[in-house]
Amino acid sequence: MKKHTQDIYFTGYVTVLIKGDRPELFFNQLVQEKVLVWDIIKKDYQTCEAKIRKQDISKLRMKRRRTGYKVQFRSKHGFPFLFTSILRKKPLLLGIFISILSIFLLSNTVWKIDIKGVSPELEHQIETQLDEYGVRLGAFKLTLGAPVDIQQRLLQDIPELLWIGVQEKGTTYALEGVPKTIVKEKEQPGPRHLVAKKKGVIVDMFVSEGAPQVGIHDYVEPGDVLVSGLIGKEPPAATEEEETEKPEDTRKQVAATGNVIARTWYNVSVSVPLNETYTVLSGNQETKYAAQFGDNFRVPFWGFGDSGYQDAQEQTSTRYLRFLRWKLPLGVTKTTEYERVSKQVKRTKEEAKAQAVKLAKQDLQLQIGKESDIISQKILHETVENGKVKLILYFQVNEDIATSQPLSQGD
Amino acid sequence: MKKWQQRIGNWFTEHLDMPADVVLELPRITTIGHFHAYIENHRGLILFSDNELRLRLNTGFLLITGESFVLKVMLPEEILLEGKMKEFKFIES
Repeated sequence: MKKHTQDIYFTGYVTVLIKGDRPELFFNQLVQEKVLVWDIIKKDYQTCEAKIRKQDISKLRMKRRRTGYKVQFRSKHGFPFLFTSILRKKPLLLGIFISILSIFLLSNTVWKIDIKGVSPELEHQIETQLDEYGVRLGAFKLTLGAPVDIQQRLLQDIPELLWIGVQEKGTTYALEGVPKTIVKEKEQPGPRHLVAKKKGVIVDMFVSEGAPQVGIHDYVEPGDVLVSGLIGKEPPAATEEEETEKPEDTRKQVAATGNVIARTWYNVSVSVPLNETYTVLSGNQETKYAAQFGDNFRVPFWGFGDSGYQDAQEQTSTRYLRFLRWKLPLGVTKTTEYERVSKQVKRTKEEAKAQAVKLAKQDLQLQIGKESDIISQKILHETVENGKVKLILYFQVNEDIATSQPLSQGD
Repeated sequence: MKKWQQRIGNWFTEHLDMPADVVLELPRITTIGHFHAYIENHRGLILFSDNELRLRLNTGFLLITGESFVLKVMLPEEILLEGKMKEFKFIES
């Protein structure tokens, strides 16, 4: 019998009072209508209390109309009533709403920034940079860039970093950095010579350790010893023989250190077209924001309409909202359009030549490094064919040609 | 006609061992101690109060007296009565 009233909590039930002459007879009629009635108590001669299901209330009302009984609803039980009563309690609702909202906000907040693998100074620098990007404790994550962007910006802004991994783990940003140079390793090189790495004429030498083997204005070939790592009195015999007679070699072995600046030569060929078309980003950009639902559906809410750019490069990044540890299928998509402009350049032969020289110089400087100087240049050959100016240039450069070679190599 | 039916019913219960309440449409009353009474096959409630329950049966009335009665379940032909029962009385009409 309990079966009937078992799941009643979920459908809801009410306690009713039936008043009238011999109220129990009213239940006889109700029962005929397949109305489930239970817990009937006779309060007094004219009153009966009973419980009926929520869905039977309308039947009860219908039945009552044709009788002289009076029906009073006493109390409501069960989930549906509870639900409506909760809905009626505004402060409670507000509280629930606020708590969900705060969980939601806190789930989308940066709680921890974890930096690993770098020295404390570099860590501080990274922290400062992150702070500049807005990545700080308590920041709202939706407004921050994607981890990839942060990574790129960090690498750009902190030259000391060789690589940095930025990972977003829930409310934590985990950064793992690799510093570029480990200075300590350089400190104690083994005994070595300094040898030439390319041919040239020595113009300047600065030797802090080791015995110089060449002088200024000497011409050297690649592999020639510039500064020897063996110091001390050298026996009169040639070096080749010296090494074969080991017992006589009393020279001290040191790590030769120094700079040997030599004048070297480069032939560079370069060609520059007279007419050229290329595309550049004009610097104009337009950013739009859209609410993202699921993977594919977007509703724009900031920045409408066409950008009006004839040609544009588009960059899109989507950030999803989080709730506790789950990623919601809701997010914000930021789309940035960069205007692209194609430029046409017409050059005269002279302009093209100047441009070619400039390009060649830039290229060469990149190749030989910042410390080297370009002394002079000369155009060896110039042709104009197929709308292009082709130059062969000759450069004189002062650069450090010393490279180290371990002493033990010969043994 | 009704008499005839009852006679066949009686024969069934005696010779084929079929339950009397089913065949003869008689009430079946199950009680657990003195606090639960389960009445099936009644023909309607006539009177219910704190200390009395009167039901119509096929062949008369059933009168149950006691104290603090509650009708735990009420269905068209079944009633579960809870309380302290003292007397079960069949009244022939």
